[in-house]
Amino acid sequence: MSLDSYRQLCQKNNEENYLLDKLIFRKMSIFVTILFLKLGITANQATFLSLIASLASLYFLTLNSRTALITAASLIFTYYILDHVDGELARYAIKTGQSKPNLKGHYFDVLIHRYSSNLMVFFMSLSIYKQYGYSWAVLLGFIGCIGISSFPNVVAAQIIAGKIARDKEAVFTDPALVKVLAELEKKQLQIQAVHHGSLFDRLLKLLIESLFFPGHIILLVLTLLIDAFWPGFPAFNLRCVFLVVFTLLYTVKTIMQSILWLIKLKQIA
Amino acid sequence: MIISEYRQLCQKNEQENYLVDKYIMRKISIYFTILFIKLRFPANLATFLSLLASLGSCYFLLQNTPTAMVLGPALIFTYYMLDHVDGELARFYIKQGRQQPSLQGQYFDVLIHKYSTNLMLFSLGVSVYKLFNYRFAVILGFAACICFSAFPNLLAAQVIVQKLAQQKEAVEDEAVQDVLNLLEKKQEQIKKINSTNPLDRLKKIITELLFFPGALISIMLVTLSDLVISPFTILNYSVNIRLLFLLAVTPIYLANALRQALKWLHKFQQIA
Repeated sequence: MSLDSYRQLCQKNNEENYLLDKLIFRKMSIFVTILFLKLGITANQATFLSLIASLASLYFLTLNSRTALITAASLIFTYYILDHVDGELARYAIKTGQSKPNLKGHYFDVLIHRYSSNLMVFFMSLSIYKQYGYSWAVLLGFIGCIGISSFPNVVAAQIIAGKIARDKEAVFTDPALVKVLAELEKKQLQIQAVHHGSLFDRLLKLLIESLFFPGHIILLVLTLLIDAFWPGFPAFNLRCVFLVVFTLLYTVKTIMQSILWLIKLKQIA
Repeated sequence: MIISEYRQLCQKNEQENYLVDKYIMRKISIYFTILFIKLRFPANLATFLSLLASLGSCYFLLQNTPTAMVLGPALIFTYYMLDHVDGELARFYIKQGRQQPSLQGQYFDVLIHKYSTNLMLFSLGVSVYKLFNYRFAVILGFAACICFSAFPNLLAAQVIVQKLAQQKEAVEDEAVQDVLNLLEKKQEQIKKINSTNPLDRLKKIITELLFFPGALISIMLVTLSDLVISPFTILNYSVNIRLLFLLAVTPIYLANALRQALKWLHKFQQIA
């Protein structure tokens, strides 16, 4: 089978919803996917490996040696590549009739996301504390971790699920709920922006991706690599800057998300 | 209006889903609710005040001074009391026709829960680190915080809601309904409270004591205990009650998070 055929079978192609994935990561991930296919590794095993890579990176993130920083960056990169590979393996298995589609893989994948970049930010803050003795860095790392965890969105999902559990007909009959459900399904809008958006739309999408997901993971890898080779200023290094900027960004995002949900959910009885 | 009428209007009564609330908290909270009604405070203001109390308690829980160790638990109690008051106010205003029922209040309330007990656990870990310089205490507090946050349940809700957003008809699917019913635990909790089977009630008491609201009460108690019990030595390590508490509960919360994740993985295997 040619590389193109693998891409056609495994990747999202016209359904790709992240520009950074389309332009960078899918170009690499397919080779790992093919290797995993040859080795008979399943999608869930790849997700599990990504969890191992993510958790292992936490240990190295707390250290300040060059080797540790490079190892942490490599493990985060591995985690992120495997995060693509598991989906590609799942698509391959479904399209070739080797497995049936179910939500288990999707749930597992989302769960691993929830125990990855947020934890990484906190553990990285420990390394700053070790190097400079800034206790505020640990607090900031913790706030960043909570911010990246997107509580406003997942709590909203829990509230909506509870509402539907109590009143199943509401998904058809309650216009406010129908509207909220439609807004929750952002993927189609993202796909639209990636494939058919104007230059401005695409630039805006790229900016949002760079600042939030998956940009923060890529920037974290780059920050670690730069800090591995650059000793930093006497009072701070690049990780400090990363921590301050991202914690601020995610705190603002969390507050905005909460306010938006409060407004949306006011319409639903 | 007399107290029992306020209780009838404001409280959950037969719909109460926590034993601790039924037997302790509701007995006290009604007085605060009446005060808030007299002051014309809306329910969301009470929720907001509970957020302030919760975050304020985290600040004091980080410290080891006697004042902070009294203020921390006092603010936790305030938070927990206001957590009852906001619901009671909302019920009162809705029944009086002064407020329309909406999911907003419930969302605000649950959101504040997500910024309360878990953050307090982390603060405990930091205070232990400050006292004994054990770095693992920070990690322990952090692990307790993350595991207590119930991500597996929250994400299950997110996945199922996204599924319904893509395909509304899936709501008729039995496996989807099973997941939705599991997420909406309230009716199950009410059933257990009113159950005549002592085993059901015992299980409910243990669950409440180990998790919510027991964790909150435990944080108050262990902090206050450390005020009167000086640090002591176990196996040549200096410890206090807060550290022992974290050592005991973190593995329980971790095991519970794993159990939740495995349960949802199994459930989601049934849904296409």
